[in-house]
Amino acid sequence: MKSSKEKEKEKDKYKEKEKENSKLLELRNITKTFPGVKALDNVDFDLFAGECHALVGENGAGKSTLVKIIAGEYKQDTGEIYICGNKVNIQDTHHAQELGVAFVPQEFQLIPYLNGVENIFLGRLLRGRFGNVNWRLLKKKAQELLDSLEWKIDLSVSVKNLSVAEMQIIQIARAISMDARVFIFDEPTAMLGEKEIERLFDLMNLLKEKGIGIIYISHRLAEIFPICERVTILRDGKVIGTSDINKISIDEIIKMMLGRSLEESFPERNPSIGQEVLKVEKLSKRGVFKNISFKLREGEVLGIAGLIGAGKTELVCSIFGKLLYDEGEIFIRGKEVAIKSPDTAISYGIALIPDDRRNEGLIMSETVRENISITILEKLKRLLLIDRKAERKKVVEIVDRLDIRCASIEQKVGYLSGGNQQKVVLGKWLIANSDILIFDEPTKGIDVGAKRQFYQIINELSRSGKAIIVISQELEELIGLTHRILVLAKGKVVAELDTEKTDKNEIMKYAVGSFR
Amino acid sequence: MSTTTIDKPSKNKLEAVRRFLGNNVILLVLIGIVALCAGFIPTFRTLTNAINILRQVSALTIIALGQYFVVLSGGIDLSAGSTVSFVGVLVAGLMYFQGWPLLAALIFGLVMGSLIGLVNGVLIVYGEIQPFITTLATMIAIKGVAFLYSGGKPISGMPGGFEFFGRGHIWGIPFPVVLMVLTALVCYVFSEHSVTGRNIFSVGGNESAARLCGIRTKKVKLLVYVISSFLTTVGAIVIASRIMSGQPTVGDYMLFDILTAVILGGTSLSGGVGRVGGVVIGALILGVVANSMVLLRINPYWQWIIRGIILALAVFIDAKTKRRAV
Repeated sequence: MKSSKEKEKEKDKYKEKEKENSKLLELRNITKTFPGVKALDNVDFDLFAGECHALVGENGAGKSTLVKIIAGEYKQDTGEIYICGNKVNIQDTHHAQELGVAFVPQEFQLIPYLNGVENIFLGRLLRGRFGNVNWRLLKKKAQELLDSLEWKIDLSVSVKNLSVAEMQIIQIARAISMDARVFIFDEPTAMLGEKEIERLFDLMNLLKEKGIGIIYISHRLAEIFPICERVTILRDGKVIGTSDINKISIDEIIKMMLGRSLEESFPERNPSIGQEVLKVEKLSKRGVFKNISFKLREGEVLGIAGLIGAGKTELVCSIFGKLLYDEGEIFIRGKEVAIKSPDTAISYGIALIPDDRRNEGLIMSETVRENISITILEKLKRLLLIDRKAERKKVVEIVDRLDIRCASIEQKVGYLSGGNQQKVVLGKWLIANSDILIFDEPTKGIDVGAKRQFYQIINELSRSGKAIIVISQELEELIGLTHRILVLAKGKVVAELDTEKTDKNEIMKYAVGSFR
Repeated sequence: MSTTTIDKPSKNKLEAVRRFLGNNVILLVLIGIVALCAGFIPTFRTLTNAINILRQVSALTIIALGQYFVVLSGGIDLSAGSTVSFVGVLVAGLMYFQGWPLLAALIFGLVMGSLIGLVNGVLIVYGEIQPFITTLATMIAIKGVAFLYSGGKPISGMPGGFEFFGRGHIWGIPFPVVLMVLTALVCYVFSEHSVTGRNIFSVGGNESAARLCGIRTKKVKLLVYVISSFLTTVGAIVIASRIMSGQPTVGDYMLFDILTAVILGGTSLSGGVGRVGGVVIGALILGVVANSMVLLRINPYWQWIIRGIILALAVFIDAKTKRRAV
């Protein structure tokens, strides 16, 4: 008798251990290649129940590729995925949901004109006896869900009228209602205010208590310490390390994220700065940015730092005429100008390399030649028609100068790698000889080699007397490239720093304001 | 620099041939259909019949070329069919009812026709109404105007000289065919070699990127609707002249053929991709098929079914080629 009892005890113990060890999710040797880039290289990753596991890395390190594989958006080339110990072959996003994976993306997948209840149960509305939707039951269930999350949201209004935080909660509630056990949060705090972040963290703790595992992606490294148990650092598609959060410091994480080589890849700044080219005075756009003034001189590189939603992109888009500002003045070489559309901005020599190269920078259905010469067609006109010969010659010059790797200038830009595509976007401004170049996240989504080339190019351009503005989320980049850095927070300039005399911490301090 | 994917241009001759064929599927389809018809229909393979086909498709081709620019820019012009009816009765009526001289009636017709495009363009660009809805509305409204003006009856009894545009010859070649060839050439040069033409491709390919490159996208979009209705008007005059009457219903079913020709020619419905040559070939295919069906005395009801199948096939090709292009 005794022995059997003991045996049972042992069994229980064993079971408990198994429970402890039970991994919600495990990835082994995941590799994924895109044309031109190895996005993931033999990546291992795991997630325990009740754990929050941070996934950090630079842009392009492979974070989003990894979570997209888990969420079924991409399929890995090689490697295995285990969910609760079972090997799975995730077919698509729907299948991933069935397996208990919920992805809360940075951009919400809500239908703005439907209300909270409809959005939570989107695609899974319960039918009543006559095939009608059982709204009463759904409403009750949705309310219960929100109660369990300790949030109060009016579920009867269209979600477009909710705040960003509330939308996020709706999105989370949807995931919970699907019985998800693995949650993926992609930059959940990017759009939130301080208080809302605190409440989100409370909610995440609640989820953890329920035994849900969370994969947490964030650029704000300070954030992951209070909420996460472990952190995995990715760089260039490889896992650099996984550590318990209390055994690692922010500096160590940063070092692992960047590697040592990046700092060396910044060439020396252009020492000779010329005359003032651009002056912006008290530029305001209601609800977006306010009272912004700065100057930019020949050969100077000005950085603009700030969190997502600080108004950086909107500011430069207003200078370029893509958006309209409400108040303020813009001077170019001392003359006041009214910029109402991109074509006027371009005529003053301003150029914008937008952050969304696929949708705003390139025309995918056209060739390298057509994408580059697009800005100078009028100048290529002889009599009524475009001089093809001159066009080809000029385009080839640019392709050679920027080292754009393409089969020929008649290749469609869609077939090029990210870095080469970005060079094509830059190429069309160099061919037009623009002298104020605005780069919005110039190295987003391009690999490290191409990044280095871009740093060289920006440096060379400043040495040739171009005035340059660089927006970047990657502070390392701003510090390596710029002469001055303008820090924006909530649409206002909170600091103007001399790059020589500042560091990442100071910039971050200003950018986050008083966060924690 | 990490590995960059590079499509190496093939030096292999076989590969080059394959590529040429891949880029010219529609031309092969035309050749195939012509060969089939020539093989099985004795009356098909005569010079008279060939010229006949060309004359029959000339108006359609001219109109389809106008539509081509609209589709290329990412829009659509549903009002083309009604415009054909309207311009026909207008030109005929001006001469018959009002007794206008030929030239004045033609010029006024061209101006009024182009004005329709201007209205479409303004509504779409500045009213920000979707092209489909805008041109659906003008299509219906113009049809009403055509009926009102003509009193619902065909107008005939135009002065001599008018029949030249549909029935006349230049150096033994039917005038409509000459006009078609000239229009196609001008359209080709305009779309491939002029700044505005290139801008139409860019706007259709990616409007917001085009705007950020300094292209005045609104101007371009406005222009394509004017081009479309101008060429539609030219085609309408050819048609009215061929039948020597202004009929308020003549354009009723033309829209299907116009769109079929454009899509069959490889123009992407989402804009940015297309070729003038393709549209001409698309129209020729329709002409050859229609001609051979008549020669084979196929029941007209069946002819409709076959046209429907061709349109579906054209859209299918459109979807397939789009998937291939990244």
